[in-house]
Amino acid sequence: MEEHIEQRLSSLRVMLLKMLAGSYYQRIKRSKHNDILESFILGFNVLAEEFQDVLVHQGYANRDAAILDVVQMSFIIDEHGMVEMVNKIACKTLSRRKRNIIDRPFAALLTEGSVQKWEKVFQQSANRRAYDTSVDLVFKSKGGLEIPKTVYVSRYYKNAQGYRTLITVIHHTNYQKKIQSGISGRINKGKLNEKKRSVKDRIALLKKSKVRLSLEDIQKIKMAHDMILTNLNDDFPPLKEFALQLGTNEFKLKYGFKELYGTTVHKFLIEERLRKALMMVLYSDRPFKNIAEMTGFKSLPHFSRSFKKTYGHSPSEMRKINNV
Amino acid sequence: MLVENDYATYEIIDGVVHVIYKNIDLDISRSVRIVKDRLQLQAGRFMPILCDIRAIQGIDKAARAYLSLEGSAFVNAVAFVVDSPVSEMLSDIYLTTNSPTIPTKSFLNSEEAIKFLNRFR
Repeated sequence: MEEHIEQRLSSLRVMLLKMLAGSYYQRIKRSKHNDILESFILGFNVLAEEFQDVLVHQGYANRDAAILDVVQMSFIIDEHGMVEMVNKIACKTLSRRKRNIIDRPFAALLTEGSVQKWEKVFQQSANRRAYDTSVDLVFKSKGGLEIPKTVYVSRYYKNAQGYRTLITVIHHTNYQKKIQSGISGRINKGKLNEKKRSVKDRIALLKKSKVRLSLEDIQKIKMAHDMILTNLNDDFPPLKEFALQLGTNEFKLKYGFKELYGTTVHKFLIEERLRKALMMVLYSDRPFKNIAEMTGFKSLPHFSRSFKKTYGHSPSEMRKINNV
Repeated sequence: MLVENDYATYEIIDGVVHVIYKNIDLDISRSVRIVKDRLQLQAGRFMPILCDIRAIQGIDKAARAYLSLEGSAFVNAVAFVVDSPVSEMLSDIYLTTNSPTIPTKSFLNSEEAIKFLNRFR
């Protein structure tokens, strides 16, 4: 067998085993080849990303104790870009020994494409005293797999002579808000409750707080999600009526939607309408009344109020800012 | 008029925007730039879009979500032009996971794609 095929098949195998073991944050390194095998590798990477997201939503974000796993990797980098400190989970995540990370360049942990990005950020931050930013980097893990992450970079001064760079990698950035809002209370509470509650109690509690959804229910709620998206500009029927259209009931739609998508039907509808409206505000000179109509808002004042509440600026301010 | 950025080239031919993607991995910041440049070219007019994705390497979830909603602003219909197993898979993934809100189909050549898009002009 040709070497490149063998190599890629072995990466697929490693990835499959990782996924079977319940870890979904790795990705297979992509090659320049353009064949069926490469299309499978692409598909696998997307699948892992999907799983990773589903697990946050269903598992981590809703559980008390797991919130503690939020910070996945921390590094302290010295002025020359060398790793001074690394936490234990980072070594585990990257499948490397601590001694193979410490005193070596941070860039050595990154893929080729990311090295340049990192160097740019690192140099930029050298010119300023206090510096905070975030950048998307891809880490190399020892098994030849890749780990894409949003990385938070903070520069601080250790003493008069030198500075250090703190790098923090958060495990699940998409649910940032959810995690942030609950983090302070949950960490303490979670620990305490863990001891007090038996496993049985916790399962009972979990069941109580969730609606029982069959596969068919889930299908219908997904349909609701898609129907909202494709009909953003139409008048939205009362929830009860919408549920009937889908062949389910109001209770299941209401709580099931929240369970699946982490938001209410109404909030989702408004958010999506506003996303659509924002693009029209930014990239056209259409009158706002027209935009409000095209995105399903009943009146211009209602549109403007919702818009300002979400984006912090009125539509006209937003258009002005964008055109400057 | 031909417009170009680091990730794609754009041209309006007979009322259809032709977007030819370069050899890149699509992430959210690149997608934002790609959509922004297209919208500036269109200047508020609704148009059908031909997306030649034959050179794209990959696309992440955030980029797919952005392209399927924000990316469909001022678009009547989208036709992907694909050729290889990789670009075909890319378009299949997008069509199955993101259920685009506007008519979207993929084709093996530009002629077929244009024929489809002409219905939405």
